[in-house]
Amino acid sequence: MLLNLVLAVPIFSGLAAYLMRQSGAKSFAALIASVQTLLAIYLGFTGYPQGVSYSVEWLPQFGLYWSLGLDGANFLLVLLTPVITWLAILATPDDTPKLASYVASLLLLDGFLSGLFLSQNLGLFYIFFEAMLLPALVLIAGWSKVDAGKTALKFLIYTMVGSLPMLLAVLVLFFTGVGGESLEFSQMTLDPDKQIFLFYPFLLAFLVKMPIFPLHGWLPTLYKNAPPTVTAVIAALMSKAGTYGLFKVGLVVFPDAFSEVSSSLAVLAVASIIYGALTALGSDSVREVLAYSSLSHIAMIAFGMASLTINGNAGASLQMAAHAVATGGLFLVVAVMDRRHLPDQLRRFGGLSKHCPRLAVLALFLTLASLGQPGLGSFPAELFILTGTWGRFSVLTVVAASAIVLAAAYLLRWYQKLFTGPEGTYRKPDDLDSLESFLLSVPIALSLVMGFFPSWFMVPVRLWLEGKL
Amino acid sequence: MNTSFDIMALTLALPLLGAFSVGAFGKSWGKRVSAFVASSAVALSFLVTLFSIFRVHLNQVASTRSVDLWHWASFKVFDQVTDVSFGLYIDALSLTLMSVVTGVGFLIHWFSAEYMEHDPEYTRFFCLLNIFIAAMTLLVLANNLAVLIVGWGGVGFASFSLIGFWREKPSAAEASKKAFVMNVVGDVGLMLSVFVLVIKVGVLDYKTLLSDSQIQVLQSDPSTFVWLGLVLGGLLVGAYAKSAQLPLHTWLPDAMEGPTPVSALIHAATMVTAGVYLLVRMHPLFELMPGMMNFIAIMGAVTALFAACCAMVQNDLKRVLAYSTMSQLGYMFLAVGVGAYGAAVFHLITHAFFKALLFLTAGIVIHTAHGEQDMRRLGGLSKDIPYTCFMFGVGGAALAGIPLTSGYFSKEAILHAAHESPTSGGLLFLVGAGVAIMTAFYTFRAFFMTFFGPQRIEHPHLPGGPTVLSCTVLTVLAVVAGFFDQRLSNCFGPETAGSGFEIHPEVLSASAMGVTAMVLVAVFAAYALYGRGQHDKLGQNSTLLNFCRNGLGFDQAYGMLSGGFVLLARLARNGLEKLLSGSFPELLGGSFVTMGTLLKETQTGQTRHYMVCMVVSVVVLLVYCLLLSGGSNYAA
Amino acid sequence: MANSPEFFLVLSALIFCLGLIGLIIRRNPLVMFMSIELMLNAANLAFMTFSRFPPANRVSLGSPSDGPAFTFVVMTIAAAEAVVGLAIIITIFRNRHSVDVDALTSLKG
Repeated sequence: MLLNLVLAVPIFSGLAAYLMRQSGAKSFAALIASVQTLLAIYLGFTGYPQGVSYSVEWLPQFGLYWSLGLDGANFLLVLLTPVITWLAILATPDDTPKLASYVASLLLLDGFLSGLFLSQNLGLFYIFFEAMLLPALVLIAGWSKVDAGKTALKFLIYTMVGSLPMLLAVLVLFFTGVGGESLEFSQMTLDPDKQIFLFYPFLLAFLVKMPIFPLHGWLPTLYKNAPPTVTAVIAALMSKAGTYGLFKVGLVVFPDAFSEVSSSLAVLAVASIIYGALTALGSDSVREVLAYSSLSHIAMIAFGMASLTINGNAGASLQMAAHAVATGGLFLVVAVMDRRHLPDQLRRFGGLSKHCPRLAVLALFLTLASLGQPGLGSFPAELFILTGTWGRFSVLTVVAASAIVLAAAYLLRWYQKLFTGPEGTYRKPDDLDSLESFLLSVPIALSLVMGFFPSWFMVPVRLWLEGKL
Repeated sequence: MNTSFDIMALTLALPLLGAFSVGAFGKSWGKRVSAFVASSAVALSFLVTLFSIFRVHLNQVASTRSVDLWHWASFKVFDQVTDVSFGLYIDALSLTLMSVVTGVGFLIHWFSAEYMEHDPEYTRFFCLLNIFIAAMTLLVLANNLAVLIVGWGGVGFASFSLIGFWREKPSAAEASKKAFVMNVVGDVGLMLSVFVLVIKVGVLDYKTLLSDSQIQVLQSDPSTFVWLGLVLGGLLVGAYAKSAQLPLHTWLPDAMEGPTPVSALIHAATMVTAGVYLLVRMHPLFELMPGMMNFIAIMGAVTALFAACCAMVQNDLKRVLAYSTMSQLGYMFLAVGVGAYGAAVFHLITHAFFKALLFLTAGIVIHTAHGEQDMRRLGGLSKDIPYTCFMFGVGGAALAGIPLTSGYFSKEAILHAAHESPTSGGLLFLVGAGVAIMTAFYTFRAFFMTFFGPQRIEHPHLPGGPTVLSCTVLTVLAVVAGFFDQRLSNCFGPETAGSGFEIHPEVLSASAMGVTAMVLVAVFAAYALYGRGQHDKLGQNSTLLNFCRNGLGFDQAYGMLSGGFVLLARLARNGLEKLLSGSFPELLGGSFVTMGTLLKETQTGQTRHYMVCMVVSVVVLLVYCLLLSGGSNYAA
Repeated sequence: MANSPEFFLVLSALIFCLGLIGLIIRRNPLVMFMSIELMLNAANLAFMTFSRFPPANRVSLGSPSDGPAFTFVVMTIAAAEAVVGLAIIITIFRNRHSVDVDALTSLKG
């Protein structure tokens, strides 16, 4: 029953927040997100490590059950969704126009994402997969400073091209009965030879959502134009809808098809890793570098899954969380810089550490968290992913591992262009206030915990993976 | 897995606590208190280490023990589970290194307390120094390869932050990035070894991996040698990057951009020796492949020679010392390669003392000379700071290997081992001896150019008490450490005989006497050439000399490599990416818009046109239904 | 002749075509309305014809009273349509002072 609250609380409070006055809405939304965080933590601990589930009939004639469950696959994401939303809400500047609708949309997005991660029914999964587009589009179209309509349209078209075939596949699965009696993940069984054609639409939808090279056209535009707190949520969590979908739907519903495409997926992922790293190295925009680094790091998750090993998939699951924390944190850095009206071109920067020493330290740790510094969350994740892939794709693994060196190069370049060297041409900003310092410290603390105690985070997913690979 | 606690865990916790408290409260505490807290954290770590060593000597605890603090992660390959714990491996080797790390570390903290006094970022400096000590402790004490990488990466981060400590200097930022990226190459090498070990052996902790039974299993299985090369290669890449060995060395000379105490602690005494530690630690695996051992020995000798050549022609005092560090590390790798692990560790320890001393006194020189590092503009400082001159001289003597200093014993031990080694017939020894002579020459070239000749510095800034005092301790250590060879040998246990851990500084053998004589000649040659402030022929600008001074073209080669990547990156960003996320979707969208514009023309707004269209369509459909698709169904 | 359905059906078709041609070629909306009425009545005639002469060799899909029922519906709808249509025409005339259909092209793409 508590599971329902995890998504009901943000969705209904979000709807209510649209009607609230501008002044109180932000604190209300932050409160709601923290309540949801506590709920998720409580559930996480009571259900550790097997999970909990809840299911009632909803529209059984369409195979739809209201089935929610916390399990090894979604454990970390369900915990992180409210945390990141909470940080994003708190980092939203108070002078944002129509603040109430802004935070309300963030709450809705949070609720739909939680629903997506928790749903244990393919139909329900699809509904949330599409529903979360609504608040996201509202946020992008409503609050982007440049090219709002164009950015939103591009994102919409890309995701629709991915997800409409997925809808068709869901309908075929149910109405032809090849998926079994219902659309419950736990009950679906497909003939190995029928899987592949139904799997391609899902694959396309997930690859666009992640995104992966060459389907990433929406990513740089969106990450560059959308307000940074929205980008933080999209980069940290919404992109995980793609990887998580691949993880859950791929491994549970289409295991044979997934293993059939895994080699091609691995090649695509490694191409994406390298391509993202190179474009990040060649870019002159604060946000674009982070966008392309996200492209590169998310492909690492897909690469781990394509290994079809316990190590690779457990690492991929941890990397989802570690990347969410690191990238979310880095976009919060962008958010606090945005609040200080700093420019976006790297070449105009330099010497920011003199004005913002606290920001310099916190941003350095987040940069390290993103580039896989040992001791922080991404390191055990990447170690596990690459151990998993080494057994199947040694050459690709070496290529992917060399991208870690590239990541160090482009992320340090990014950091140093901003913070070190002679002073650039920008209006001198103030250092972080204590709330902002706190906001940026949370992801660092999470990343440290993941880096030093990865076992605790990986036990549920390993239990879940037993018998699936 | 049973987790437990060992007092050595405190050596990890104390500097971390120090770093955290100085980082969080340093600004409000002020300089004195911050320095005190940071230094005492390291001092306490040192005391804990000493306490552990005494407990071993009093037989209260086992001399070799592996302690699991908590469960870190588990790998699973099919049914083979590899449990990795966050744990400590405490034996003679790690305790020895720990006493050096925390001991020298404390002295350098003490030195910095005064040396860095006028820096506005004082507390950040001490916070980073403490982070470094914690990471180095983890590196040395980790009981498995995965956790070793955590420490390995941690020292890389500390090194990065401290090289780039003066953030407004673009050259410092560039140097720190270079060091970090090069070290990430090493990290990736280590990760590669971890993948292969996990999959092929399923063991990462030293206790099991390096046990005799495991080594025998590996040796008896012929398939081992198919993948062992990858493991060892990965380890070597890690070690070479961290210890600035050819060809991954280019970051070390540039690392001198950092404050001098950092160069002393990280880039001379401790971090750069991590590679030697790793190879000594993993030596049972390396011994499985004799070819790899020979490779290490030869590369060590080549690096020693290469760095000595570069050091001969440097004009910057700190760069001379940087290249000499590289060269001495080459000696240590040479010792490891010929199986003289005891000698390698011995040289590591004596080198930590005398090289830290040299860097710290060089720091005093630089302060005295108001930041001047170019030896051509220094000179005559022996009159301003005679005591520092004496200490630098002692350090230089130890580096040159002049009898009765510590460096003499350790270097002789290595040369002896090289002489005895069957590898490449006496060539290793010859190179080693030649490098020893070059070392003596360039060390004293630096000494005489800096301290002798005419006085060139006006209004010298004289050093204060703590800096001189900490250097004095190091001076004593740099002299007496050489007499502890037998103690060190014993420390590695009674079974060292034949294991490579015994140390033989055969100072009375003919070859040793010969080398010593040549070394003394080199020192006198340096005096004759530089003792009275003569014009320096090696400091000139000629093509050949500049080529040597700039590291024999490695920097240019790497510059071209990274330039190539940057070019590729620009191409990707401004070429393919413009197409993929710009033109391609826009063209696709645009084509639909064009299609719409064309079709729009059919909407004339004239009702009669629509009507005609409708009638024609209905007629066509009717004709189709009646005539073409089996109209007979509709017939009466 | 009056006993065969062909006569009525051909008549119905002729009336329908007349209406159609009128609808297409005339520009006055009132005349166009009359043409539409012609077409509707042609359809009504066909309905009544089939109700009077049900096809012999086919199973009838409904009862013979379906035809008159439809005719009444059509007549009712036509009346309603005329009301709405005339209202629209009057509004157009009020706004534009002309009811030339060819001039009404604001839906041009």
